[in-house]
Amino acid sequence: MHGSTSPALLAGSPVAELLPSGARMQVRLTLLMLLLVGLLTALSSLLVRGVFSSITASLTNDLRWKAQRGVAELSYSADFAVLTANEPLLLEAAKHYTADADFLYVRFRNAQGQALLERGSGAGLPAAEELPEAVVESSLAFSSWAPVVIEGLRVGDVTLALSKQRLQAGTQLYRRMLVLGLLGASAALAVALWFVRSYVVPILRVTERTALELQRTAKIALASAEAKSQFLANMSHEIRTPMNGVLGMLQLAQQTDLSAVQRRYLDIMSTSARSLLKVVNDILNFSKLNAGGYQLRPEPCSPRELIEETVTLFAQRAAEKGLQLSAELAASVPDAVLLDADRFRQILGNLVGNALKFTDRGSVKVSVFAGPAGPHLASSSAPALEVYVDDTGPGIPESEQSRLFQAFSQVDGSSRRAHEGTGLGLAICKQLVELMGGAIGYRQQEAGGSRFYFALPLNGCAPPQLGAAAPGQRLALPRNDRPVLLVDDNEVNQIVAVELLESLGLRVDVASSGQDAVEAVQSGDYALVLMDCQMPGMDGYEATREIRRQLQGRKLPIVAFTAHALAEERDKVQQAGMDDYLTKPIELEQLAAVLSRQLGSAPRSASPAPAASRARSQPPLLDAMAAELLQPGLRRPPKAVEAFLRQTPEELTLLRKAAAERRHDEVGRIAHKLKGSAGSLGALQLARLCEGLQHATKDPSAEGLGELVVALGHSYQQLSAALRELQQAASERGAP
Amino acid sequence: MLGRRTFLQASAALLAAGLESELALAAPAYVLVPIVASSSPMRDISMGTLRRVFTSEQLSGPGGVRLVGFNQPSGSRARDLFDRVVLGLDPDQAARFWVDQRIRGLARPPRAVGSVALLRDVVNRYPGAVGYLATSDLDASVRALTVNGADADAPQYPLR
Repeated sequence: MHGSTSPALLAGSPVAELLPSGARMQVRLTLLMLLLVGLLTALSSLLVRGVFSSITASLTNDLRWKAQRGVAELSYSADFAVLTANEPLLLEAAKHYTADADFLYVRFRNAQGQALLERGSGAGLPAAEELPEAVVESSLAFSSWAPVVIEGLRVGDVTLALSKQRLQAGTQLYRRMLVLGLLGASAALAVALWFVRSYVVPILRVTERTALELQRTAKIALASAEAKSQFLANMSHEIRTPMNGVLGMLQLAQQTDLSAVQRRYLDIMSTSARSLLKVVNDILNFSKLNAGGYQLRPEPCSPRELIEETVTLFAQRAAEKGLQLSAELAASVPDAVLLDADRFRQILGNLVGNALKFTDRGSVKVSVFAGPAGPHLASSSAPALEVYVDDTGPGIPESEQSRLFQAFSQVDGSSRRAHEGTGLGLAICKQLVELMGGAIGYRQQEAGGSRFYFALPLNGCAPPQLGAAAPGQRLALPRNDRPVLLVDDNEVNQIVAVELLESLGLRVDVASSGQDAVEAVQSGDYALVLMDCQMPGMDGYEATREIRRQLQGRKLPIVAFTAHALAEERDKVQQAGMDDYLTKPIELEQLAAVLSRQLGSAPRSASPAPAASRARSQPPLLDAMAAELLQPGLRRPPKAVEAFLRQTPEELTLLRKAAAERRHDEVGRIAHKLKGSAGSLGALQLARLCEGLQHATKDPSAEGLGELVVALGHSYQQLSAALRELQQAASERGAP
Repeated sequence: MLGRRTFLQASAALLAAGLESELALAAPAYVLVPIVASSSPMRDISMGTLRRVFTSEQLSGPGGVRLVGFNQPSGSRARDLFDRVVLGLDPDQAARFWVDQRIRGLARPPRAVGSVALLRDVVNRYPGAVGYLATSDLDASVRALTVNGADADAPQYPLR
């Protein structure tokens, strides 16, 4: 669980930020209530005000009009009454006005300004007389006056005042309504606030507390899960280190002279140790995947090779159980795809291994298709690489199928289960497939067997470069006179690694600490450094950085040597300036492959090359072949060698004939063919000569063609002698 | 309708005039007298002056006071007689005359005062006012004028 990412709940905003606190919420709710009540009050008062102002305006106009018309009318109708100061007539003229609800005051005066008749209360009315018939507004009334004129002679005047009581009553009502509205709003506000305080806030507090509690619980749960994961990873790591010693020593012991019984015991031990290692790796893988920090490393690779490798790997086990193991690739499967080959091998290996484990008779068949996504990769319509692993085993009961891809569960979960394993395999497969953007599934076959399948997004690419890492050339180490520096503080590891390196024909110097390593590199000329990463004091990363600093750009391959099987370790070693990466326990093939890669590509040192190294510039006669044949468990069937030895003389005869007849195209064609078969056997010298010949045929002058043909024949003679010798040696060892 | 009524009225008036001339001594005659305020220095008024005052001409009396006529309400016996004798117009003609005057923007008819008592009061109080009354309505509050120097009893008195 190194560098595992915590879920957002823990890493990011705490609940307090997601959820406003009770106090803040209360303030907000209070403000909201205030705002709402204020808005409502303002709105209703505006409405009331609008109604009242329109009523007031019409009432005002009404009163003004009445006052104006009133004096005009009275001044005409009461003219003779005014002239003659006739009170009954005046009363008669004014009676409609005095009876009016708005009436306040009426006064008739004669030309001398003496009041002839007054009715109502004239107190508080403006004394100054404005223009005739103009309406004067005072606090109490609208008043107007007009002269009384008969035939151009002014005989008196009339004044009329109409009370503003109705207007004032309206204004008063308006004020009362406003006050009432405000009181109502305040009451509503008070009730709302009381509600917020008594009901909403407690609920919020409870929610807040619950959320915090939940967060704490989740944190504890996650931390505990993480701790368990970490513990598993640590334990696995702790187990891997001693396993390194066990496996290494076993390998070395197996190479010694042993009796048949001893060899069988050791084989069993080795198998058991590998099983244990697999369990540990499963757990490590699973914790890593579970933490979500797994890095895929897609690279161009050939599906055909991947399938063949896996099938080859399991062929022996299948044969032991009497099962038929076969693989079939559809024509549509591309030669090269971009995917993480190691993970692909892991997934396929797991499925095939399971199929073999649970199948007692019949066959296991791997089928690969490519094309538009099948029914299983429903989430995407992109082209997919689909792999099916079918067996003729008992199948899986429907009720158990849902548990198939769950962690720690085997279909037969009882203590008396028939099959061993961590129960993590399929869970890991599922996680890996999903990580690769694909899908994995299971389907019962009609005939009774199981079908596991997975589909991965198909990303085509250029064919992979077949280089030093290609199988068959793994143990091909260029001879090197300079020693290899092994840096490891663990004595067992030292012994194992030294033995393994020496078995590959390398000279080894040992340093027990980072500091020793730095000093050793300063004083000695090493072809390569094998650096353990975890050491007390100066660790491997630091030592590497120090060495890189001292070398100042001079090339020296440094290969990390670590017990961590985690993918991120690769990044770490790269950052420290190391060139390659080996995990403990070291296996001979891996070691050889890495050394071959690093030493093969290492440029020669700047010092003048000794004669031996100059001789090396000529390719060795046999490269992979020799090492391959020397190893038990042949990868390449000896049949291929036999076929090569049988066919090549014929080809050479044809070649010589074509060269003599100057049929250059034919020479090129045969050289190409010969180059292919020589290359696949690792006969590098012959392959290179063929290539040179092929080149020469493209030159019109065809200069040196004859010499090349002769050299080719010579090389073949040497090669066939060496091959026969090795074949014989191998067959002697194969049948002790 | 109006025509017929006018005709009837006219015939009745002619008849009445004939009867009056015949029976002058037999029954008390209906006679109008022009009146002014009791305080007025006026004693007599000519028919011409009377006509001009009651066709609303601007006319000054003694002491430079403008003479203003005040009518009795139209339709009253006094008004009909006055219009006919002074203006030479029957009620229809009088109505048309004043409409015509108003249309031309020339003059308005003198104001009519609703009751005899009020008329006496108005004439008494309005400076330069000239009114008319049936002799039976006369009292001491107003001064009755002679017309063209003739008293109401004189045979040549025109307003009868």
